[in-house]
Amino acid sequence: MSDLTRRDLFATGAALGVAALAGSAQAQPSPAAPPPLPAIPTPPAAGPDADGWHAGGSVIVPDGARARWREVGGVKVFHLIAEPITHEVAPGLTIQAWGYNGRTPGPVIEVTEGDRCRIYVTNKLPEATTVHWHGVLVPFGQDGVAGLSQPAIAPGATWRYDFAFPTAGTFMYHPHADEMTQIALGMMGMIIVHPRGRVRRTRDFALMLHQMYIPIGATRPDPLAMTEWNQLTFNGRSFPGTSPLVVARGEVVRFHFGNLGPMDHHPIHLHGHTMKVVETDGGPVPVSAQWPETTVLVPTGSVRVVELVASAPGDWPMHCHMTHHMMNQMGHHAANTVGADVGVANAKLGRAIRGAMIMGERGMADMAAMGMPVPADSIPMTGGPGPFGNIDMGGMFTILKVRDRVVGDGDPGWYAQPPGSAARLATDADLAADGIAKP
Amino acid sequence: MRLDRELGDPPQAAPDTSALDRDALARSLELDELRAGRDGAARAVGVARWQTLTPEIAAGAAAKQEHGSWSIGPALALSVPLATGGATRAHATAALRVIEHRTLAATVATRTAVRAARDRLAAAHARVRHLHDVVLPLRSQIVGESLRQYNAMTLDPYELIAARHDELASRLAYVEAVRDYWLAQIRVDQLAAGGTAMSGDEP
Repeated sequence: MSDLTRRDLFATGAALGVAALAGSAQAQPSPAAPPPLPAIPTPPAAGPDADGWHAGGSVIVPDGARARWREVGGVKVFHLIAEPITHEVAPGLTIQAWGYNGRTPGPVIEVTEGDRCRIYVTNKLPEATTVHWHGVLVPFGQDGVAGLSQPAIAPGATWRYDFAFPTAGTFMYHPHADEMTQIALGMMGMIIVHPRGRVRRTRDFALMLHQMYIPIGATRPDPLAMTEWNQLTFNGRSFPGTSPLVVARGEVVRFHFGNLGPMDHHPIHLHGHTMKVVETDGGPVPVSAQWPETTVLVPTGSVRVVELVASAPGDWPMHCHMTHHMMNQMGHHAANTVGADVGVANAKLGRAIRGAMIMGERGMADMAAMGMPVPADSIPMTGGPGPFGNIDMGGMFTILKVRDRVVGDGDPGWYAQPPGSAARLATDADLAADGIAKP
Repeated sequence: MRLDRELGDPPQAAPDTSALDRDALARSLELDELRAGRDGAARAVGVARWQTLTPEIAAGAAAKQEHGSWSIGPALALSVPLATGGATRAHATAALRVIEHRTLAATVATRTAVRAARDRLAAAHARVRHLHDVVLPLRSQIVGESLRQYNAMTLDPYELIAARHDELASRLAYVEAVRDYWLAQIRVDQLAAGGTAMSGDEP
């Protein structure tokens, strides 16, 4: 069973829609550019494939997929397969994880309010599992709690869940059997239930937040980790492995954040824009209760849907603001040498062990770019290349790329800044003109 | 301290000591001496046996005075070898047995020394090859991986230094193993050239 990727969606010939800016009071007009023509992907017009499977909906799942479904007698049928998988977190770091339908997080289940669904769950894991529909108002018998609402699904067995999605909103699914292990290894997914009827046109992104402890050089995340995390992900990917979020200027954008990381909350910060929480997994937030933010806390076990207008062209970071959540896999056993004179120690260490050097006396940024050999299949501290050098980020970091026009799918490259609009080195003339003395 | 010449690395293949037993027994100076002594003792037994069969004869003149007149005549003494002859032969036979047992003991001791020297050489060779082929590469690999883990900040500098310390300790152990190998080889060579078993040869 394969799930439709965003690329597939465009490959099927989806037309680029046009969103009206009318009614979007938050849109900030650009002084220079002509009125933008936002491009919002529309669901594929094509029907089911030869086997009757539909491709899913319209939500963009960066580095992820939507669950496919087929209609049988007015019921939408899905099939989730819980299974061990091989998963690339970022180039250079591939892990042995558990997930659904070949990926972690599992495919986004996208339905419409009121849809009756039948969801088959096949357990190909070595231990029993269930699926709990987190936040969905299901009858008790469909709640998917092993031992409480049902027996666990034994390895090799396929169970079925039957229920309707009574309310619109954004929810999640995950095992409620040995959650500690199964969630830690990557078993989770998002559910997006669109409201029935007339819907505001928005560009929706589904982003699951997760954290793992992957011992450096190992391929298996450690489910016993409780306080020590070293790999933070958006949709299972860490920077520089996160695909950029590409939107057109003026578009109304929604980020559907779901946090099923085991232990931590994530304050997600977006540069260059403000946003409001418009929904949680409990339902829509009344307009009167919304307030603008640049950082939205997404507690573990929670959904936050934020809305913004992509008003400012540029390459805007969006990231968890916990600084250790913006790093990859680094250990924490190095001595603190910041500011220390390590010349003598460095010479001795280098003489005793070829290639060894005391690190960090000038801060940590050098270390990311230095390219020192690290254990196989690990990415300690690595950043990603940017247009002006190394971007000293990792983990839960991605880039919102706002462009005047978006053509097709994929990364439009680095933002070309208008001449004279970027920060620059101060000249002596600048300093003299403003009366700034060089220290 | 620096030596002018380094000990060569022991050979890859295990040393061939299959002829050592034969060579050591054939060329042993001690066994040569004992064998010569045993031959002498065996001859002494033969002589003693002949002596026991040969009577002791004495001849001479005898004079005696009887009733005032002297008479002179020849004298002949002939011994009957009933007791003295047995003692001589027994002494020679015992001497032969002593030297035969000494030869047997020396042969056993030589073969024991051969076995011990051969086993010691084989063990020294196995140890030196294991250190060279397995331990040293692993220790170097551990230092390399430790350096990578240090670069990834999962090891502190002291743990890295400890890995290097262990690597150097393994190299010292290798040097000692090479020394032990050549000492064992020397002992094998000594025995093959006729050396004598001595204390310390025991396994």
